[in-house]
Amino acid sequence: MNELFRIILSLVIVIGFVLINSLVLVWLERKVSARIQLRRGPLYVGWFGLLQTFADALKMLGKELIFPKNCDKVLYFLAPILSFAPVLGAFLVIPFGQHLVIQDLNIGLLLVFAFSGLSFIGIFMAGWASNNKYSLLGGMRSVAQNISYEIPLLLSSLNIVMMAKSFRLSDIVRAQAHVPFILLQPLAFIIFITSALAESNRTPFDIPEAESELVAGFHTEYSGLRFGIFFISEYTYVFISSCVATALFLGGSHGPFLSGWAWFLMKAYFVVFVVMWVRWTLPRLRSDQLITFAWKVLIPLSLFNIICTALALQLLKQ
Amino acid sequence: MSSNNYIYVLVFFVVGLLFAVAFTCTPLILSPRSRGKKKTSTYESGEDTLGSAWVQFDVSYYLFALIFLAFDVEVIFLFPVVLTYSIAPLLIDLLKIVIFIGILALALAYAWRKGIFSWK
Amino acid sequence: MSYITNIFTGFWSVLAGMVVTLKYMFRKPVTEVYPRVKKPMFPRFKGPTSFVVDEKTGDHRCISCELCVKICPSLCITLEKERGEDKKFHLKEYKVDYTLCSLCSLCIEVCPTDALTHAKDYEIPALSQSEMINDFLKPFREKQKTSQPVAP
Repeated sequence: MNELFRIILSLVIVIGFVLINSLVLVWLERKVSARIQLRRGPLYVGWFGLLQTFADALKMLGKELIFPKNCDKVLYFLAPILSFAPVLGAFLVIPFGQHLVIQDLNIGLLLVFAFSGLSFIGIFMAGWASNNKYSLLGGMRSVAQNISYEIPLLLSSLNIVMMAKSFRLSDIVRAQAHVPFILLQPLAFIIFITSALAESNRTPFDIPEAESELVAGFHTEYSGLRFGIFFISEYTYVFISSCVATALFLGGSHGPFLSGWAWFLMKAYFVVFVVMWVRWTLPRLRSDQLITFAWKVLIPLSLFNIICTALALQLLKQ
Repeated sequence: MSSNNYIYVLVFFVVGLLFAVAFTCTPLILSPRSRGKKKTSTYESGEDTLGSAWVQFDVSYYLFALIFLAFDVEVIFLFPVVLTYSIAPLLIDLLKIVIFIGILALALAYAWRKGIFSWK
Repeated sequence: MSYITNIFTGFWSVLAGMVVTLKYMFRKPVTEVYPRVKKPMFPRFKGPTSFVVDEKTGDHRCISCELCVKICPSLCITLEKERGEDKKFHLKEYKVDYTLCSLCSLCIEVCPTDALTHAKDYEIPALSQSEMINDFLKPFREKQKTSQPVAP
């Protein structure tokens, strides 16, 4: 009975957090982009325009859902759902504080990667089911990019597993009590952030949804809340990958003065900010450049990094 | 055993599915409906589409899928190996890891040499 | 070797670009919050033509000479006058059709009493053509109405 209550409570908190967090992140994105381009961004609705995205979400609620004439109806309906459903599961293992974790599974790291790897199935389904050439191109590019960058993502996190001696995210955080792993594994951090950017389809790796050439790619044909749910899942994946980056490299909830969860959220939102900062700095890459960058640069570098870490462990054994 | 409670994973996934279904179905009640011939047509910058989008596609994407399959399986092998190695770092294990990664790198070098990464 | 230097220069250029955008982030925004904050117009801005309000009498200075009507190249001014009891012309109606006016300021130059000027107003949109015909005497009439003492 107690367990049931715990499940329901955590579900409610996570769903609420996912919705509010994505709205806040959209607001933050608009503000950051505006400041970088010397604009002001949303101003009027609420405090500093903070309620602007809530208003947009309400508007989206009143939009008609369209089934395009030529689409594959079942897949078209399922695609946004499949891209959103794994989002909640990824929150299970993220250690927000010292003991603030819903289920501290011993395969936590793998679970997060598994759940975030599921999302691009939804994206590809959306691209295929729309029966639109833009969407198909977007879906194809998305799959090629996601599978290419999945490997450096896993390889760079292997270094951390080797140093923390565990897959459990809270153990990894505990291993960084004195020195965060970013200082010991800077190369792995750079590889991880780059691949995480690509995994969540953010600029400079956003060819699946390149607005100017593919008219938003895989969600060209989607309208209303179906489109909105793609948006929510994209922004939540950004947040999840910054949470994982925080737990793996930035020392998680460790920090002086403030309590653990405050430090964790601060670091996670800082990583989110860096992701947005990168987005509004760098231009979009060409499709083939992007995929070959993963295979020619990131994967050799991360293989090299693994061997270096293994050697260092061997040398420091005594 | 409360720390390894995998029922949570199932429940979270199922609730995620249900929530998404409910979320995408609310506009069916709230939203207006309108009709028109062009409304449900496929978007292609205002032009009528020529044929279906379900056509043959560039093969280089499938090549990436193939090497990804090989690499991903090998990375999965690396995970437990690396974990046991980190707990008890033996020299012979290091050698094995280096050989394994060397073979991986050879596969990569082969694909590179074959020109998979340079699109024509 | 060029492979490694390529990686380093690429990484370095990304960092350099990020520093540039970070600097821009702390600059003052250049955009105006337009409908909320209106920008004061420049002194020589040529807005729509309008009557000058005389400081002494508080009325317009038009003597109904019709010079502006004659010189107007786009024939947008309609003027009606009547001879009053003092044998002088009194302005009955002065309307400018802004759908025709090209803001050439010839009427302003030709006016013998400097009764016309360019207003500083730049928000003159309208929903119909009839709204674009501006009655110049309207503000003066309203002023008369408000200033007249109410009968006891």
